[in-house]
Amino acid sequence: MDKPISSSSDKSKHRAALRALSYPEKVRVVVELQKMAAPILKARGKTVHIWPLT
Amino acid sequence: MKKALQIINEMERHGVIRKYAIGGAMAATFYVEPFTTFDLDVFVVLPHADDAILLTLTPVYDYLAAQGYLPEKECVIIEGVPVQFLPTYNPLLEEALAQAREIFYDDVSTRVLTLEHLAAIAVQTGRGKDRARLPLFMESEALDHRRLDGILARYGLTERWMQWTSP
Repeated sequence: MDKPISSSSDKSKHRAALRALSYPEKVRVVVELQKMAAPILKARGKTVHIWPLT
Repeated sequence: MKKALQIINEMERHGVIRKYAIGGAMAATFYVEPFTTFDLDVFVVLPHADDAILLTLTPVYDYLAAQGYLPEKECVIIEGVPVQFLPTYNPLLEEALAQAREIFYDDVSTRVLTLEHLAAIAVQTGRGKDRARLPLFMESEALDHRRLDGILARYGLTERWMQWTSP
């Protein structure tokens, strides 16, 4: 598991690193975020699709 | 995502749409840090947009249905990706699409709206989630403030921008 980000300067560096990713890498992150959010949304009765990367 | 973009490119080649560009959260993600979204918003110019009184997406939906891609709520599920087709219904969106950037997703060519147009569209649309994105846009080194000022002035959005972004 990734190390938690604690200080505000760590957070800014992390956000800058995310901004600098290539578009396909960013899409991979979006898909990971979808996987995290999907169970919560499904529990609320919403239909969601997690994107295939291909 | 890649296959969905290939299908949308085919739609453009086949004349089902005249031109398209990615907008919304997935266009913003090109410029800023990634954030959660489940839909791919695609702005389109329809083939007969110049002389049409009413813009209809029926030919788009029919083309996709013939290939087995069916609608679900306001989207069409293309290769597992919910795609929302949005016709360019006002001059700001027309300009945004005309000036969209060509990019590559892996080896697939596509277009995204510029960050300045995304910011102006967010101001024009005026929803809470659009407003919430503005700080991310403003933090991005990619934002050309001079260009944005020009767009906001052209479309009468400067005052709302000032209201939204002043501390």
